Amino acid sequence: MKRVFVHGSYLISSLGFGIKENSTKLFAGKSGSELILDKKYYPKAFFASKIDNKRFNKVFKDLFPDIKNSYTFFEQLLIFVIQQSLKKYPIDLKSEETLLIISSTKGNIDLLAKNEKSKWKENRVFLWKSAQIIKDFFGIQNKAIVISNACISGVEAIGIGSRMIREGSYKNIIVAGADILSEFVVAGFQSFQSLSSKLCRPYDANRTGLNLGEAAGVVILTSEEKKSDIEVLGSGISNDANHISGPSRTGDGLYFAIKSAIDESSIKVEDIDFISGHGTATNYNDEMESKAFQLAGLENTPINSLKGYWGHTLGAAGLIESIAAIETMKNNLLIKTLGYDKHGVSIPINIVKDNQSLPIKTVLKTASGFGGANAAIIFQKTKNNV
Amino acid sequence: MYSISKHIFFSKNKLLSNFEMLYNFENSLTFANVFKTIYKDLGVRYPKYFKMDALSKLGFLSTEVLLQNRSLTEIYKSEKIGIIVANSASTYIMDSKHQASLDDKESYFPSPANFVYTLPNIMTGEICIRHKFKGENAVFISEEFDTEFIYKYTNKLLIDNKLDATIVGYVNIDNDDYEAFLMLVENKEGEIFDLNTLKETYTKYKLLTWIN
Repeated sequence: MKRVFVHGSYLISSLGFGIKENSTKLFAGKSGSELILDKKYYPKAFFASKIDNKRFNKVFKDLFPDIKNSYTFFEQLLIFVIQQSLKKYPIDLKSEETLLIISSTKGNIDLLAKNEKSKWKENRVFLWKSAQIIKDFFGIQNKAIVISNACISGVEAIGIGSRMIREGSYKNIIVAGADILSEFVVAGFQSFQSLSSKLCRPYDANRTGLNLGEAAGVVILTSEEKKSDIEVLGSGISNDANHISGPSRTGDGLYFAIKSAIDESSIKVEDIDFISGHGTATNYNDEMESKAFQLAGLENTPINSLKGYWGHTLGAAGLIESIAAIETMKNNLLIKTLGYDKHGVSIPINIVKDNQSLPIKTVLKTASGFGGANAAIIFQKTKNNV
Repeated sequence: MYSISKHIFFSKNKLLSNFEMLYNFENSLTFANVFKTIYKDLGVRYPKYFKMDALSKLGFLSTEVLLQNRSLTEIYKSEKIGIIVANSASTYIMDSKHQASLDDKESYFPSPANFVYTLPNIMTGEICIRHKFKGENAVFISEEFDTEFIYKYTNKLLIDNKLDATIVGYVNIDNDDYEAFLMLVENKEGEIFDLNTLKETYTKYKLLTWIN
């Protein structure tokens, strides 16, 4: 079976631009979330993680001085992160063995608003259109693939990418994900009463809901081992088949995804050194996760959630959290779960409360979301890096 | 050996199963009317159906006809049954409805019952709940049904033993048009599931609904 290696990680978030800025702030315990009062998103103040717009406009213009302003914010984010990724790991974009996979839940949904609608062609709001525009920008030959499976999109996209490398049709796959803050999404989550008015507290007894966030992230998956530190061993996707907006009460869905990923990886449960959890800080999600980790025999394995730093960045979450997991592996340093203080899920899972040095070779990343979907993926340091 | 047990196509107010016409309504009828009539005619009692958005209803009815009272969980483990579908317009109809509840600040009233249906994978989620599918699931968004990619990906899941049975196809609806094409693929003897058969079956359905 072909091996799948990870290269060219890059991200933009509320914490900053690039791996270094983000990981420095993660390791320092700094949150990118804040109280936002902007009627563009919501009539009242809400707590969320926002990208520094002014700074982004400047760096985007610096990187692409010749581009006229004909790309939306969502598209610009993806173009920018992919360009930075390709700088780190150049690939033959025109090759028929190169594929672009985009992960997003709502893409250009902000264009649907009354005062935006007239500015763009109607089909610009569709995810396939965004993917086409980005593919054409880079001159990629193959049709771009878009995965839109709510909050698991990012983890699922990396899983799909690694499967398609093993399938044999592609040598290099760019997996990029983004979601932006919009009135559409903020008001929607508010109507669901699932937003916290303060910094979110994953797995904590006093958790009161999630913080939304915007971000973009990218990795390049390749069958070429050269100088790679990390590989993808296996992945699994599942469905709770229980409720469209509430997670399983037993955790069996997420457990099936974890088991499928472990089986494919040919590793034992004990080989997993660390779990990068989903941990949205909603009551039911965090509880469900704890049950799934117990079912999988992982209740003693250290686990964190990064939602306290970046908020829930929807289709980007799986990508940027996987990138953080990779940094965790490279630095052998676990990042504490910001917002977690008093244990608040019924299973005594081992939540990382303080940063902690630990040799980490193998990581499990999970995600769960609306529609009852769950995803799990296993990353491992390559042998020459252990 | 993976084979196609059945396929259905639902578009332009016509619903066909294994190339046979099951329903053929006048073009002038709205999709809402057509869906309602088929739901009643199938004799399904599933109150959740009435809460669903148009995309979920389309996926739900198409799957009911595809499975026709067959319970796949009697043969396969739940976690080995999946659904892999493509779609083009995502949840455009519900997106517009949710956005409309925000645009007019005088009657600003976003509804959670609408918002949850602004994710295309709720449609696959509804199908998974109804038929207890707990395995691999994915919703790909493409301008048109990309048979080649969907085939390669689904086939990879089958040969890797991630799945023993799966629904694979295309489910799409926007203000102007709707189309559902679903195949049931299982680990058993029968008509082989390969790219050519997938492509030819889909093309033949497009032609059949065009002519009739």
